[in-house]
Amino acid sequence: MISALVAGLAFQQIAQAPRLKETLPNGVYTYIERSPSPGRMSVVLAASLAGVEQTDETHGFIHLVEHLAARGRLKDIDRRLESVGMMLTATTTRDAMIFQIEGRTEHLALALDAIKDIASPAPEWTQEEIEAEMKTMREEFALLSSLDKFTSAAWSLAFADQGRSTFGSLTAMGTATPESLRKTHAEIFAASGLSIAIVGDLEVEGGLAQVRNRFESLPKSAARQVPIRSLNEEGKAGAVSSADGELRSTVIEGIDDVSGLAALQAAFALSAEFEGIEPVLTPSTWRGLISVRSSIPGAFSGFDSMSEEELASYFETGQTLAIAWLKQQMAEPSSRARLMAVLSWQNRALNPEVMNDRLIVVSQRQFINAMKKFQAEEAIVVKGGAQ
Amino acid sequence: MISALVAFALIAPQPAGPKLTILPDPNAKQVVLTAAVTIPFEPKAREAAAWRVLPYMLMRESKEFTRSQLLMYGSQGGYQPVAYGTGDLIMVQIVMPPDGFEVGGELIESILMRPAMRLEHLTEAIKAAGSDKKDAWGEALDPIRPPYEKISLNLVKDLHALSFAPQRISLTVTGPVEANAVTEYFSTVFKTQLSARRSPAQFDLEAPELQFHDVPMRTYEVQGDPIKMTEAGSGAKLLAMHGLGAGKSSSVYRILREKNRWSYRQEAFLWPSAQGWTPRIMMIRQETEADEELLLPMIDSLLVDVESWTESDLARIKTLAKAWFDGQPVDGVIWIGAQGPLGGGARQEGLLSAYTQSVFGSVWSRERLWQMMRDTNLDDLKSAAKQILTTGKTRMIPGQAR
Repeated sequence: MISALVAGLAFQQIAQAPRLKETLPNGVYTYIERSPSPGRMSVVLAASLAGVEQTDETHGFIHLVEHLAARGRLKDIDRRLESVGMMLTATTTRDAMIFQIEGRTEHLALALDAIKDIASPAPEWTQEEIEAEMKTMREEFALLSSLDKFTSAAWSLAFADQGRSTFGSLTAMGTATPESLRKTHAEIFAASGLSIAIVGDLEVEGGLAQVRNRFESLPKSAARQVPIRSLNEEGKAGAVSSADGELRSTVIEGIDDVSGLAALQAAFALSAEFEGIEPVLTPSTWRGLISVRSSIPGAFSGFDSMSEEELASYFETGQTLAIAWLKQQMAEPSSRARLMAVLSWQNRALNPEVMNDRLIVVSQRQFINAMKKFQAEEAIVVKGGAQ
Repeated sequence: MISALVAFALIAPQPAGPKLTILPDPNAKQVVLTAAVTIPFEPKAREAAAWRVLPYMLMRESKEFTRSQLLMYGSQGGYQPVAYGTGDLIMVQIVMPPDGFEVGGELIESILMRPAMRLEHLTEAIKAAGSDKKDAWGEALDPIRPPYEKISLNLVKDLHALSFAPQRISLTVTGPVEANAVTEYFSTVFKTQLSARRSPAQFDLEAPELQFHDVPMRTYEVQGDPIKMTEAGSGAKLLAMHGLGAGKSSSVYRILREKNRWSYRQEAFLWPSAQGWTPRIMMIRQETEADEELLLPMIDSLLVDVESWTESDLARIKTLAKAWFDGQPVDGVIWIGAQGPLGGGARQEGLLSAYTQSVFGSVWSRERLWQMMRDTNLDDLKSAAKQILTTGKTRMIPGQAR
């Protein structure tokens, strides 16, 4: 009973919803999709970090800008949103700074006003405000998880200076001034790097009109260049002394590329077949890493000696779980909006249906090659514990 | 949508089977099966350890399905099956596609009633419990330090048998299901007979509590008494916790983080326990050699803020609470596990239903919870918040100084 059902369930297609994609004349990109979540919507502003350089002296300015910008020009965004039952979340990945607001569709205008507020030229932050925020930053730094430390180490190994941590350097952040942060804000929120995604119970044309009204007045800016992340050929092994376990990573050319999709399936297969292993990824169409992590020492020991035939036996599991993951991402307006705000800006041809179709056609050979890239001989390996 | 349909919830007591709640939702895209089980007694030290490895053991393998099969068959709805626990509660959930109800039923029954329980699974579970160094926040959420090295497989098996007798399981099924079909199906399963006696571990000492974090972080906590849903004033307490903890306009965020700059992470929330939702207000910050004692200042500063609440604050608190109770994707303060606040959606409805059925003896839907709180006035709101802050148990766990 179960195996027959599985065969049928595994390849359900993702239905296409009414959808609009448009790039405004100034470069602002919009992705608007209707979803059958009665009365609900999710609005995402993703500001691409392409072209926003981080040096030793400025590493962390992006993160500091996120903290300050999220309050809004009058520092009242949260109170305005929460007074009508909505909430703002903000996060910074290596590729984008992402602001998300969820709530009832009737409050779409308020949500768009809030992200316009964030993206508008920075207010006059004072040195006192920056120093106060640095106190919170130091507390956040102290709370960085072992996973954060492992992934930072892996990215540094893979890409050296082009793989800097998303958190930043407290030392560098301590030198930030109002002028330097305003400059960073302007770089981040330049029009050509902005992507606005709305997924919810709305008429897509009406949603587009509201976005146009607010964002078409932003000055045009030069197109952003995809970051070049040169591989650090020396970077294969590293250590994190303050945590246990191991992280293994493989370089991919994007989640829309066969290398990324095969690696995704391999990561899920490993998580299903080996105790204590979980996949780690931030979806992007740019070169990056997919990782698998275990907090249990020795979790990978049986895996490294597996033959191709043994690796092949996990193909169906990996494919099923990867498809399930994509379905999960696409099931809710919030995760769908967040994913498409970033991915669709990076690759305008990308749709959920395309991603689903590409997952299905990953071959067993491609899967085996991806699995081998997680074995010790080929993977980027970060080990925990005292070295 | 689901909360509107709760009026049609069907509760199907089975003489020797689980307490079954069915929440039909013909528009839902998934069938969600959720089980809740509480520990039948206050656990001593080794029992506390055994309880904490049980979720791992349940999902590791059953008599019918390998771990890989459980994950593969149980992930068809887009989410991997999960089992997790707190000190006295275990939740299990499986999400299936609309036509996957019977497969889900087969899986969850196998997981709950016939875990394989091999010695190597226990070894793995203990290794995972010991080596997965929780961050300081995770340690503070569950500060019990049970003696994992002293538990036996028989102890875990006995605890499972005592706790997972079918009539002790609360099982909720939500989604596009026919209630009669669900009732009929579950009348044919959960027939495994489990029996055990409480082991000599009941004469253990109490499980010790964590005395300090081995990282330079310090945690502060005020913990109120579990809220009994039928007690007078329960609604005001629930709403007060929203005022203290919901969103960035909450007291803990505005005062502890933004005004005093004491912490990056601070929360006020309702922790799920077998006795009811327990109010907890927590803050974590770096341990420094010159660190001042902040427990009383934390409480005092929150009391000052509570005293300043106005009708405008009451309206804002109610609006945000109602958004959560309407199923909007905002962070509320109700938790059903250590992963954080319960959100919206079918999976969350399943967790809420199964937990409340198990702990309170009846299903408390979002609508029902909101009805308890909606008429709270400002004076009652402030009194409830102050009572939680001033009469709660306090705990400060220091860390190693830098």
